[in-house]
Amino acid sequence: MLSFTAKRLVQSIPLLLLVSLLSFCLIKLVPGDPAVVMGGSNATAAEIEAIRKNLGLDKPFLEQILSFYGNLARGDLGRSLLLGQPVKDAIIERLPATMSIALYSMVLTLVVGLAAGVIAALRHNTWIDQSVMVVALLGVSLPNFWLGLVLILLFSVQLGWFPTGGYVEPAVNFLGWVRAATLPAVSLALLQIGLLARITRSAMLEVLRQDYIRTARAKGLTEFAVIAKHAMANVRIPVITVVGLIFSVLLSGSIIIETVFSVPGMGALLGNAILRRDYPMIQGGLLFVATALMLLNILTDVAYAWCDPRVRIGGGAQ
Amino acid sequence: MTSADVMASFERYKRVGVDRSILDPVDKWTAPDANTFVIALKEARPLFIEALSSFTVPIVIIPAENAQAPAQQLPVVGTGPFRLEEFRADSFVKLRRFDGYKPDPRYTQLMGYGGNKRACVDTVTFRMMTEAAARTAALEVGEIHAVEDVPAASQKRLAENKAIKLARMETFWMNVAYPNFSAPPTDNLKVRQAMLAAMDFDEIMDAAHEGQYKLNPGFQFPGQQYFTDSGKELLNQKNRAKAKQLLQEGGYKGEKIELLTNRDFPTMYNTALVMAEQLKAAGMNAELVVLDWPAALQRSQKDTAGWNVFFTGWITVIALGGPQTLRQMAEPNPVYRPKDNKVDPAFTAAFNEVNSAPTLPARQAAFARAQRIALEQVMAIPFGVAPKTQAVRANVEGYKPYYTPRLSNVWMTN
Repeated sequence: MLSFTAKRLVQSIPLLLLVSLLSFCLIKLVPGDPAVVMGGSNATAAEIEAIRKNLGLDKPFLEQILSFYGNLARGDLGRSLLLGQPVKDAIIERLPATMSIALYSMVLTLVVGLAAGVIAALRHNTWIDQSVMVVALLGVSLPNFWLGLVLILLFSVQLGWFPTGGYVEPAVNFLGWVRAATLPAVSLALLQIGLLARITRSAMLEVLRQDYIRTARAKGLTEFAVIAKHAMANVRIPVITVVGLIFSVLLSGSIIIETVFSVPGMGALLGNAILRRDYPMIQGGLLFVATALMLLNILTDVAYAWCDPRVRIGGGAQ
Repeated sequence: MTSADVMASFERYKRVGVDRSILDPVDKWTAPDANTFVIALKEARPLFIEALSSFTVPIVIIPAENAQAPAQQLPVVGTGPFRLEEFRADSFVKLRRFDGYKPDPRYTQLMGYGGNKRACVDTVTFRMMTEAAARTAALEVGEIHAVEDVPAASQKRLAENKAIKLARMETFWMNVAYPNFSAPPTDNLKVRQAMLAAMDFDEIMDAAHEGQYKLNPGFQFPGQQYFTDSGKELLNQKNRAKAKQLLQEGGYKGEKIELLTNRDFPTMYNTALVMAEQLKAAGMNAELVVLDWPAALQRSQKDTAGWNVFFTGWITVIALGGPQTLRQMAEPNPVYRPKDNKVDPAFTAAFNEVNSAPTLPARQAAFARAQRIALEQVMAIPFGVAPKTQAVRANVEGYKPYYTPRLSNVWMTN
């Protein structure tokens, strides 16, 4: 298992280099002179020259790229023009809000999505199955920003159960965090719940038709044991695939949801950086998110290997 | 604070300030003692003080030791009746009452951002809530006490809510487009005049501002010192036959007219959309070019190709009065990008007179002349004016709508 994980990590290095190169090239792809773009319409020649120098754009290309990787190796992602602080610090400040909401959302997705999918499969072709699938279809179809606004109107304005937005650190006030994070987490989760419920139902229906399930029932096992021990073991693989994808979608969906709910997280940070042309922030943020998603994929692969020995044997431990 | 801080602040503004050209007429400044700062001009400029007092020239006095800070990297220092408590650039600003502040006794109330200012609440927190529906909801449930901008779609609901008071500024946003004088076919005066002749401003403003608008016969609003309707017959003509005639006279051969707009401001997008259809109906080959706002603005300012008409909104530009408005169309940086940045000499003469004529009537007459020339040349198209609606909770007293919220002299009752 360890060697499998190590091999996947080593395999990710070229991809990481490619991502970092793309991130470096981002600033080169800006039409015209990036320093002029960043300086704005009122910048003097001296200010533009200062920006150019600050970004290292006055150096030869090779020197720029070596300097970029040198800084990267030291964990220096540059300085945000908008915030006036190091990009790394800005990311570290805002990451907990995004991660905590994404994790909350993930937990909701797993609990509700898996349960709904299993129940729909066990009650195949009944009104319960139909209802779960209609709700799942609705969840998949609704745009999350619209859903967020509807949830605000219903649960904040009409019922007064949750605040309309903002963020409370869980370490400071856990209940306050639950109240503030619930609507954004639900907005993010509903779409994914629909997706996971449909995948789980489909995988479970496939498994329930297998001979070994019939054998398990014939042995006299309780239905709970048949489902939990035998059926779920084989449903895990397709579900893990989807869960990996879902988490990356939850992270990317945070850009819109954090804007709707005024959450000071990574999504809002990157959204603002793009709108304000804060290139160091966009560059650093892109690199960070890409690296995080890559690690997530590795984690998904490791989870595969853990669940299914065939992956380990075929994939790395020969 | 001493005159040394004032001088350092002026010097920094002259170096990196956004609107630093306002200081061009200055010959020198001196600080003969710690409490005196003297500005000497190169020539008589009746409007210098007025221009200097405008809020687009925020020569905020900073400690002299901060004067070397680069543009946009000035350490934040609180001032006035509130002091800065906490600041996160993309999230919120929290201010706390500054008990050491003494209100200006020469005034009895707020004047613009100055006047007699008092902190009547302990703290004020400005929260960035970019989603309009979410901030309106936050106001409804009482999580926040005031909202800077209420969208038209929410106004009826809020007006029926007894816990909320709406505050409306009737003349806020002038919906403006300007043609590009350097790119064909809008480098052709007849084509620009044909565009102006073809348009129905009511249709455009209705779509752009959800029915909340007034047409306006010029670049200033009624009641402003320089308001004039000079040239108003050139606006809202709705005359396709005239447009077609002008196109023929100008030798228009169906060249593409690119309307550069964005979706970040729905007002600008809708304006461009309706204008494009009106131009097509008059025989022009109009096409939308949609970028995001920073990219569109950048293109209009840096490129003379790739766009024929740019859409924007003038707010502070209009509020600052006639001379400031004309500066958008005058050298050195006219927005409509004439060849080599050279502006019509008659316009320049009128603009200079607006800035230097010794009496107000003479300056007003010069402004009227300049406005007529601007409309005849189609330097900018003022479609009309839209209001701004702000809102506060019913227990917030003393709040008066303004371009941005002013929280001095505002208090809360139970």
